[in-house]
Amino acid sequence: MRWIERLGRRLRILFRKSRLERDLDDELRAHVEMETEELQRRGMDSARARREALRRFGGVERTKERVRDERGGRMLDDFVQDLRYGVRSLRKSPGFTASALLVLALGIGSAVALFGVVDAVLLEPLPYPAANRLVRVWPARGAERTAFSYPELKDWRDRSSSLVGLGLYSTLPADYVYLGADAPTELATEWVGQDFFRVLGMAPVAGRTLLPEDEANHRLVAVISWGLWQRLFGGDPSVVGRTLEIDYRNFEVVGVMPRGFTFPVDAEVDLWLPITVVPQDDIPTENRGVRFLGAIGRLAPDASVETARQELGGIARSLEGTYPDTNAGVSDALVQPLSENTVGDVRSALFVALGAVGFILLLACANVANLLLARGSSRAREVALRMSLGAPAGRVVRQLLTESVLLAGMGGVLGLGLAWAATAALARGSAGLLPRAGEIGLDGTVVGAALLVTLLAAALAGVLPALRAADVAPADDLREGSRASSTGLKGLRLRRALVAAEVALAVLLLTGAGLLVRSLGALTRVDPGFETEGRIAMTLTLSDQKHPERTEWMGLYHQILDRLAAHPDVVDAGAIRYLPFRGEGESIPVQVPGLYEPAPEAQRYGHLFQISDDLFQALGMRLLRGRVPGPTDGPQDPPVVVVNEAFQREFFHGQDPVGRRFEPGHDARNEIEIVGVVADVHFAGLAEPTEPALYVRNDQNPRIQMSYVVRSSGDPLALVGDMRRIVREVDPDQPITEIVPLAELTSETLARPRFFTALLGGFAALALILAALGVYGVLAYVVRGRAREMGLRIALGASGGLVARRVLLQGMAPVFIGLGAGLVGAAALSRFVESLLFGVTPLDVPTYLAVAAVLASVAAVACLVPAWSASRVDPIESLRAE
Amino acid sequence: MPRSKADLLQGTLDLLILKALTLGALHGWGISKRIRQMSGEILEVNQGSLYPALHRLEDRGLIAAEWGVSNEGRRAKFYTLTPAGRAQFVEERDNWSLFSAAVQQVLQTG
Repeated sequence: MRWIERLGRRLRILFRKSRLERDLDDELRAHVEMETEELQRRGMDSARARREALRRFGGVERTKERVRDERGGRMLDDFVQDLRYGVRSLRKSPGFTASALLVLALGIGSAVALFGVVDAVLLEPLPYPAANRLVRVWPARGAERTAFSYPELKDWRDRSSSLVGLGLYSTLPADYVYLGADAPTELATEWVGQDFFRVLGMAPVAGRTLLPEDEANHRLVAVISWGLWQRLFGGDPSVVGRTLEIDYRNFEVVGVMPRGFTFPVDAEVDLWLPITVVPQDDIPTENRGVRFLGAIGRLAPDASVETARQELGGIARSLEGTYPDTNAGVSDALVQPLSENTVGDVRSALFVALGAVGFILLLACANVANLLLARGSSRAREVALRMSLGAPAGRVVRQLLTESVLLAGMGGVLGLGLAWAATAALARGSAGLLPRAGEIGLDGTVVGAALLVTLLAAALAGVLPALRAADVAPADDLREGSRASSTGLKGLRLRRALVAAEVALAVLLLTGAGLLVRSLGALTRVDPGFETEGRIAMTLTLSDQKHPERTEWMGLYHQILDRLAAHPDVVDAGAIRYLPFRGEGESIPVQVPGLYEPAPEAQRYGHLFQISDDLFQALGMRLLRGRVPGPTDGPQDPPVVVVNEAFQREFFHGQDPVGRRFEPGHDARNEIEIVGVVADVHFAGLAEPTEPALYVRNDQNPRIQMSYVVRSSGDPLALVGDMRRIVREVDPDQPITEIVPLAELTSETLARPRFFTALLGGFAALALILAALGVYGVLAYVVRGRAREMGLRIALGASGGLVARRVLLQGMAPVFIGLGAGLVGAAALSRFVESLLFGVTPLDVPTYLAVAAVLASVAAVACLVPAWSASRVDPIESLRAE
Repeated sequence: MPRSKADLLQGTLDLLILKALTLGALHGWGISKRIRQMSGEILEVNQGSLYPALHRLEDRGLIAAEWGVSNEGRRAKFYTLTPAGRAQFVEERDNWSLFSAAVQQVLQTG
């Protein structure tokens, strides 16, 4: 407790300083007067007594100073004094202060804003209790993960002891029709298992979640989201127990989940239904071969990811032995922490961006250090004066450091404001591109980081200049200060080194951004294999609840297709299950007798697409050989398919497959004939390789969900109203899932690379500006300091051009050093961006050349102004100025 | 006269101040006077050391200060010993006795 009292006393001392000083004055004066009176009592006259008392006392000011030292709180006292002094001296040079603050605010602001993004996306725990114990679980063929079938998942759930629960959820998008609103709508539905909510550790705000009995007894019950509760029921607390008619069936609402709850993170889900409400003729969930489920587990207290993987792998192998028909090759398990799985491939991109802002921060600090150094040399006289008046060097260093802390502190406050605005912009710009973008914002952690970054900036920018400035010999500096001679350009070497470092940092950032720009260019030049211009797609799911007979809903499919084709503005109309770039699809195992008969664990798959007869024209895909399936290939006719070039390469070793047959799986009774070959489509994404694909006529293998693709003779968006009308006329209860121009599909896949390229490009531009400012600042300072020398040279006959050339060369010397170092560094660091690149190697020579050219020319421009002013020095003026 | 100007050993000034205050509250001038008297006019306390020492002891909580009026009717700052200061005085006095006895013994040896 003693130290608290002492601290209290120190603070009192600080805040009542004037009173304390008065007290001390009074105390010492009283002493002298008592001494005087004593001497008078001994017979001295009053004037002599007073002189003698003062003589005996000694130096009053020195005593006072020593008392102040002993009183405690001296450091604090000095600090406040330094702070006041700092504020005064910063106010005296507003130009310097403004530019330093701007640079610091930009550096700190961008670092903090990006840290906010990284914090929300990568560092903050997922929004579930004890989220670090949550894992994603997959059955695996070798190292390749696959989905669960429902019976398989139940077996894992029952047998595992390393997981306290294994929650299942359907990876298939399910949209249930809801007719209670003005227009038929679809509710985003997730089929889940009994452990789902328990594993995530989430309790409902009303009612209950799912029970094992719900799943076991195929109960029609629903847990609804907070959003749906507000939307459909106005937040009515009596919603539990009410009936919700969806997809022509009555579900009982049993619970409401809290606001913001969803899984996976960022998924938009309206309601959760037990997996067992899915009719067997919709998805044969009881079939072990039908793999469509994802699973999340919570590790038991004594389990780790590795022990869980071992135990689950054993379960997989035992099931493989029991059910060889469906589980052959599925002999292992994969377990991954949920947080890693959620972040996925943006991790490396975000770390690259974080590294980039780190460099920006360094650049900003180097810049401010440079400004402080320049200021330090022009303040050399002031420092020399203070030191010759007895200020110890440590005290001067501390005062100068206080000034840089003050500067960084104000820069930090401004930077935080900047970060606040930038974070909001980043959150908006990254919505849908980054996982958990909705959580991006400034919170305690981020503000804490801002404080840390600010202190770091103060130290980085302040230490060197402060040490440098205090390293003066008072006599020299006072004498020399009156003449701004060239020997006054102390620390010039240090400042040049800083400029070189700034240029090197800018090179790193420019190279990174340049590689991303080249990569984005390569990506946009990829031919996706289909046309987007003038094309628009409408996705909808026909209801097999309302129209149970297949002929009935297939009739609707043909009606919609025919009416779209008959529209006067429609050139071609087709339909396909699964639009490109959406990451959805289904695949079947392929066997070609005599050519491709792999072991189960080496089995390769082909992506299966259901199409209409005119789909290839509508999408602009190119048929290379053979024919497209047509009306002669009806539901009762032998099945035929068109395959792509990748299929031909993979399974036919390049031989012409037209007219040949293959088997889906090992089912020799089900041979399918290949009637045509179509050009490859980059279905999974522009950067993804093409994979084997088969196209089957929808009449032979029908799907209720299809995307209707039309090619318009004019603006495709003008068709939207008519497309909706056609659907309404065919079935007024039919909701439409989505209408999207195909061009938008392409821009969706480019959105993330564009976002990161823009981000890094912005940082690179900032770096370029900061480096140019650094180059300019130092050279301008040199020219100012050497005006006399320049004047002398001109007076002695040197031409202005010669002087300018010399200055230019001097300015560019550190630039070239930094350029060289930066290019070497960039080449060394470029492997970290490799995973973000497409079609460009990390050592792409044109990029490096372009970076060097851009930087050299920007630096040259920055040198031109000082060089020009050097050539214009008036010899008479500059010599008279002394 | 040279002995009266003898410099005080480092740390002994604090001890002397504490001792002077064991007899009651005093102001700075009074303390220096009392030390001089108690030492038989040998020890002269330098004011340049006295006041810093007083403020140091106050900062450490060993003595407390209060403004009051002296016998001569003059406003002055009076120092008193705090309980912590009394304890400190006892400890330092014992240390000093031990120390001076030891030095004495060394000097008397053969």
